[in-house]
Amino acid sequence: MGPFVLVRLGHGVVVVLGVAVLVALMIHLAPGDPVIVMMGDAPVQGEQLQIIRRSLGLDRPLIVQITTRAARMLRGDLGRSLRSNRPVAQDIARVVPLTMVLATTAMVFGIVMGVPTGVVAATQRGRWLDSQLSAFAVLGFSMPTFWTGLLLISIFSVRLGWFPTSGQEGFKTLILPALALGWYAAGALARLVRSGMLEVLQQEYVTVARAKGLRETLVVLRHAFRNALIPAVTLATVQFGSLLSGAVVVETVFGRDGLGRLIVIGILEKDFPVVQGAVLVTAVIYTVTNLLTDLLYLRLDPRLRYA
Amino acid sequence: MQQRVLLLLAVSLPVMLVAAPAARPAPAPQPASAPRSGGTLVYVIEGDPDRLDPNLSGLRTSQIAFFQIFEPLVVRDPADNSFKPWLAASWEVSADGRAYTFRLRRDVKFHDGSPFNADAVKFNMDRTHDPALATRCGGCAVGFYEGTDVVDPFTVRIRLRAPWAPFLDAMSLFYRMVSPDQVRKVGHQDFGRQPIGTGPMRFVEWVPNSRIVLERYADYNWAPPIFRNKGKAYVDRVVFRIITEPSTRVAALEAGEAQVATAVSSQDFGRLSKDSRYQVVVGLSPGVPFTFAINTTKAPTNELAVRRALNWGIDREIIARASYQPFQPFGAFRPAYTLLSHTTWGYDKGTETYEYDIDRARTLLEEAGWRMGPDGIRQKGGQRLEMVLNSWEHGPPEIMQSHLRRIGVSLKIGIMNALAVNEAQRKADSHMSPLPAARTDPDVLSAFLHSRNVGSGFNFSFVKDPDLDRIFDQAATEVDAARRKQLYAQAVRRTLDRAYMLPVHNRDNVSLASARVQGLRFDVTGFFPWIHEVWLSQ
Repeated sequence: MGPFVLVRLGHGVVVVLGVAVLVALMIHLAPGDPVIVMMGDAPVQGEQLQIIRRSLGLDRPLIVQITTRAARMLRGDLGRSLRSNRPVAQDIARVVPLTMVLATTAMVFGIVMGVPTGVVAATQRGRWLDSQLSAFAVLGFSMPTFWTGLLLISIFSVRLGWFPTSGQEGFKTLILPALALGWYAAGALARLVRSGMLEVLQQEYVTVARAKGLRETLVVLRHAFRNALIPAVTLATVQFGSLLSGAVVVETVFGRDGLGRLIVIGILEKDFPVVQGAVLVTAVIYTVTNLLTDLLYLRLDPRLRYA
Repeated sequence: MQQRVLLLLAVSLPVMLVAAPAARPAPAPQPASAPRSGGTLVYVIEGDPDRLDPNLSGLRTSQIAFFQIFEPLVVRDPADNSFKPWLAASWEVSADGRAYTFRLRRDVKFHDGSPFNADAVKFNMDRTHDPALATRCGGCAVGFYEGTDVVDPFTVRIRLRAPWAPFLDAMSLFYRMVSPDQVRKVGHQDFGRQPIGTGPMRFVEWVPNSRIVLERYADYNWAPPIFRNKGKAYVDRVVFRIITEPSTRVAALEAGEAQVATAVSSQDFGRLSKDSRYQVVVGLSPGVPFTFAINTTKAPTNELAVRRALNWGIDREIIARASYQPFQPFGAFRPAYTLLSHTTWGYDKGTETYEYDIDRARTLLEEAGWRMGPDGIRQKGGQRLEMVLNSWEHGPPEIMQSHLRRIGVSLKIGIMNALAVNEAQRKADSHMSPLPAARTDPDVLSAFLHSRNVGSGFNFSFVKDPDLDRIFDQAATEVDAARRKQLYAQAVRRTLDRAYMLPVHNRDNVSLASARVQGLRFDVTGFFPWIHEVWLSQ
């Protein structure tokens, strides 16, 4: 297992470096003048804009800007936001926990709602419950999270007053956004678990288990479920990665700070240091998540251990 | 079949719940009586500040918060646009307009206890104009500031390189006093995160992208004469909550989590303005209305006849009514026919040049050689009369497109974020892009129209008109107020006559407040609230 992990970590480093270089190129080559956007709706004379550009080093040739910033990043200095002058590392340290908490809670909701739904739908295949649960799943991943979020706010915050409309302080503010994100994940997971279960339930070893006289629950849960999980695990981890960035829509709707929001606002304002630093951190998170997935895989599917 | 029924239920149930009236009945608010002290005011804004530092920041979302923490020397009275005392008790301007002497109040202290005096004013002016700090304060006299002399502990003289006419206006809004002690303590760059001023509210905390919390400054005792509240603030705390999604801002108001929601969408405004639990709070904004810069160097808008036809060919009344109907009864988002809104100092109704005249537009194009083509779009020399307009929001662009089609112009529309819109205009990929500017002084027009601002600045019309430049240069340094007004009227008339720009509608502050909020009013920009005057009824 040791060498396996080391090789994968090596891959990870290459991926992260590649991402860093690509993003640096893209954000610099993207059109737009950050200084004009930074002034917001307060237009000024060109002379003042030039002073600001000079103070941010934006009047230097592009290649000089890129290499200077790259050298700093390699030394561990992520620089400061062009907009707020806050250290990028501070911004990232603030938002990563917020997004991780939201994405994790959403993933938990997604698994708790989606997996049992898929299992029950499979065992009830063709019956009324199957169609209802499948409809619930399809609804989940068809509705855009933007709309789901606004709907949840309208019903559970404004009408019923059970949860706050927005914010990031306290556990209660987490529920609705996690539900909005989680329902989306649950839908996809439910469908995948259902089809995985259906396939597995037809395998010969399941027939044998039944023939041995085992209770149906045991057959389903101990023998079929674990094997049906494999494709679902892949999906779940891919989803977690996309939850990190997809959370930006839910974060915006619910007025929460987060990694996705940091990146998007950075892109819209061409705040290079913020975008580069945040994307770098995101790439690291993805890589680590993928590595953990692969290890989980090995645990679930013994056939892979001997490959 | 059953699946369909369930799906139908799943969709209609939330719709019914949403459309139903709110489950909890709200208590009827007490009629306004004497101001009471106490409570927390939650004020929802749409963006995060960059830094809470008036010397270095000019972003509106920053100002809305830090205007409560920091105070200016003078203030413009919204009643008549004249200047009144604030931290300065009196002032005089030298005859040549280059020296401003302010006599300061003697009873003012910063939140950290340090005294406010002439040294503090000098510190602030020098800091704002330190090139190493590259201020983003858009209204400050960058380029005109020479220096500040401390005449005596409470008298200060500010010297300008040339008589910059908007200076007193800038002193009333953008030049606000920060504590020199605090800057020395935490440094120039970090002051914006630990701000200390003299204002009625003091800083408590700022969680980026989430909230800014201020609390009442107990020792505040120097409210300017134009304020009704002569003592300290009524509310205990004000929390500026940052919510970028417009519907969520309103949801927070409806759920009772906030008492004021700003930048309300027209649908929500229309729905709640008739609800007795809420009150409409509108601030009419001075400055340049929502106006499109027209690229005067790119065909076909390089032709004067075409630009004039555009100005004759759109029905601004319809545009304002169709896009912003709920705001109209409150005087907000009205159609604009000239380059300054009617609440601006220097506004002159006589400068209005165009109205909706479809025949005139057609005649102008015909005479310029643009003949109607088979597809309803005019042509000349094998070229179709088509142009690109980019904007940030839907509404007016689509209506303009349909109006212009009637006169044979094909308008391609792009809706995208500000960065992309500006870049496309700068690279001459588009013909028109929006350029509104809320500002109390008409000098802001020169940022859009002076030739020195082509390329690296905001002159998106690419106008290089020496006569216009001369008028702006004169007006910027004209000491006589009446003459200055005339000069700007001249500049606006010339700009409209040459159709360098296309004014469409005003852009105002449209907010909603809970009926509990009393005394909320805005300064002369129509945008920045005077939280000091606000109190919450039960």
